[in-house]
Amino acid sequence: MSQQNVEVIRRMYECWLEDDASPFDAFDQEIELHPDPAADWVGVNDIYRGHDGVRSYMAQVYEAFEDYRPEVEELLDAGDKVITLAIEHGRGRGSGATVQARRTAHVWTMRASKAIRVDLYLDREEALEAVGLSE
Amino acid sequence: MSQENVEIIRRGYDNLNRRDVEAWLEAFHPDAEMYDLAGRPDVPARRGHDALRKWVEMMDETWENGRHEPLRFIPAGAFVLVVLRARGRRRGVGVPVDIPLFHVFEMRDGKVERGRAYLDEEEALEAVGLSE
Repeated sequence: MSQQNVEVIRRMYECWLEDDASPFDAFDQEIELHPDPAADWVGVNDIYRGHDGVRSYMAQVYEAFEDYRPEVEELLDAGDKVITLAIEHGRGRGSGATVQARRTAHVWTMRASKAIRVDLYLDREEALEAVGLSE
Repeated sequence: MSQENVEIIRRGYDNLNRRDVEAWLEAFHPDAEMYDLAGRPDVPARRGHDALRKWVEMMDETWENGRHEPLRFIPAGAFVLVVLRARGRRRGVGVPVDIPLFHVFEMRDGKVERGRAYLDEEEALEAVGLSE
């Protein structure tokens, strides 16, 4: 089952990055998105709930960063969780803004082959520690 | 000289993307040093042509259809800063990657002496003395 979870999440990123189908198929209707508390762009909430919540979060990200994309480096199988090691990059809005990149992690909690929660980490080590995969 | 350096680097990307590795290596001193991502302690320096050949092999093992597509060349004294996109699919993950990168080449006598890759534009600009 856990390998199936990895495939669900892999497919979700593929859809997202290729715009060929809705990545929301991978999300439970009641998904909760928990941003990293240290995320400092304007308007970030504590928790975003449901598909609309995820859309709202994404709108804020795209508003803060031009050409935002998450690049997937690895997908780790951790039982009912899937951990994405990503490089997220984008150009801050405003004249003269430069491209910024950060090595981040997304921890997806799965139920019945759907994501019911995602915790976003600006620090990969913190994410790996949280799921007991730290070295 | 700086425009000549740009042409040398531009040809290098053409050769690398065609996987004409020996032609690509002509742009590098025999003891050239390359760093995949500057500032990461776990990334070792690659020194010399053999290490660079192994880097290309490693890239091809990691990436399907991996390409470096230069968008802009910025000469800055002995340096050439290249704004590029790295594109491909990571083998075993299968998700497409299209990431901006910044390569800084330090030139000596028309060849690369040192190269560094940056994810962050500001760091790359700092490395060539162009940061505000």
